[in-house]
This record gives sequence, structure tokens and C-alpha cells, in this order.
Amino acid sequence: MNETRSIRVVAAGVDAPTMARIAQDAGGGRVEAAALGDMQGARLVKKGQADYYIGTCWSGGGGALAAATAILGAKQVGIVGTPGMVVTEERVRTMVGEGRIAFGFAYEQTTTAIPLIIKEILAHRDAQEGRADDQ
Amino acid sequence: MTSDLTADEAAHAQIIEEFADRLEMLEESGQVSKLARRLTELALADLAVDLGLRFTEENSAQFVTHLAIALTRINRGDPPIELSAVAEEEVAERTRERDAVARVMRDCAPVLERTVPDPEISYMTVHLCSIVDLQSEQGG
Repeated sequence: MNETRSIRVVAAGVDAPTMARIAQDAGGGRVEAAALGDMQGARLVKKGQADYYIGTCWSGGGGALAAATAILGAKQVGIVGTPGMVVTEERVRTMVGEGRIAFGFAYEQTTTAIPLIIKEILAHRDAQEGRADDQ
Repeated sequence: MTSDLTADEAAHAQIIEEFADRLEMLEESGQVSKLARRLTELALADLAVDLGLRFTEENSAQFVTHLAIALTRINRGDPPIELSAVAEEEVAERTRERDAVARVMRDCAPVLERTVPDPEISYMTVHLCSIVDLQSEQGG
């Protein structure tokens, strides 16, 4: 059996401390989350010192992922919600499955988006570890 | 007028230095145009003098990023963004800040060759209000 390491999440944007708390709560002991500035958070992910980045802004499409896009690259990031686009499990699952590691959404979607993102990240991790155990 | 010009110039210089890394990163990654970067710096300086604020990386990073991305999007002629009811409610009573943003954006419009839509002004105002409130709490 592989020992399961916590998934390290950095939260940046509007009310980042609350975002981090929601992520940690949603992770059920498997997620460590910290609130950071957007550039600092994205750099930690880039260096492998954090696994995932979640970002908010008021509109969801502006500042939420700007630093992550610049530092990690556009293929690593995905907008999962805006005020006009509901966060769906299917969209989050697709983005996590594609290997994206930074997710942005509108501030008002914080309480719905973060648990969904964490759930899909954990499911993705479980699937990867299951495959590794089978080999 | 001379003292106003000096205050504007000092604010502009402080903004350019304070946000050089952030705006350079956004411009280099192609998310912010050169024109939008320059307008962002000028708009921030104008708002700083008008409202007696000091914008720093610590208190204004999100606002600066939002402003630069929004001005790029507007200049490019992207479809209007949808207004969030939550954001609109946040600024419903903030006439002073909204008027300041609207005035600065009116000045930007000829350079952008576009009128800045109301939802964009609302989102900018939300960010600005959080800085004003933070500065008030800190006794600034």
C-alpha cells in the first residue's frame, strides 16, 4: 500500500482565508489548504510545493486565474464558474481529469465550487492510486 | 494646479514601481495589452489622488489585476460580462466610489475607443470599495 499524502491546496482571491477553510473542511483530513497571494500561491504550485490552486474574483473571468495563467500556463488552468455559468460536477471532473491544476470561479460561487473541486480532486487521486496499486 | 500635478505625478510613479512585477507578468503572458497596462497605471494614480488612497501590492493586487484584464477585454471588444447581483448589491450605496470609477473610465473611453459598460464599472467599484474600507479600518 502506498501511504497517502495530503493534497496541498492554495487559495487566492476574495476572502482567501474562508476559501482555504472550506477546502480543508471539504477534504475530510486529506487536504491541507492555505490562503496566499495569487502570485505566491501560483509559484508554490509551479515549484511543486503545492498541488492545486483555487482562485476567485468577483466576475470569475478576470483576476481569478490571471496570475496562475501567467505562471503555470493556460493549459493548466480552467474557469469552472462565473456569475453567468453555474459550476457543474461534469465541468469540474473534466478539467481535473485533463490534468488542470488551477481552478477559478466567481466569489459568490465559493461555497458550491470548492467542495465540488475538492471532491473531484480526491476522486482523481483515488483513481490514480488505485491504478498504481494494481500495477 | 501645480500641486495637483505634482500629486498626480507622485502617485503615478508610486503605482508604476509598486505594480511593475504584476503588470509585467500579465503583459508578458499576453493577458494584458500594453495600452491596458498604461491605462491601468494612469487610472490608479487618478483614483489614488481623487480618493486619498495608497494602492499597494498588499491591499490592491486583486484590483490592479482585475482592472488591467478588464481594460484589455474592453479594448478588444469582447462580449459584455454578466453582472453579478451580489456584486451590484455590494456597491449599491457606494456613490462616491462608483462616481470616481465612472469618471476615470469616461477619461479612458477615447483611448480604448469603447465606452466602458456599467457592469464593468460595478466590478471595478467592488474592488475599490474593499480597499477604501480596509484603509478606513486601518485609520488611513
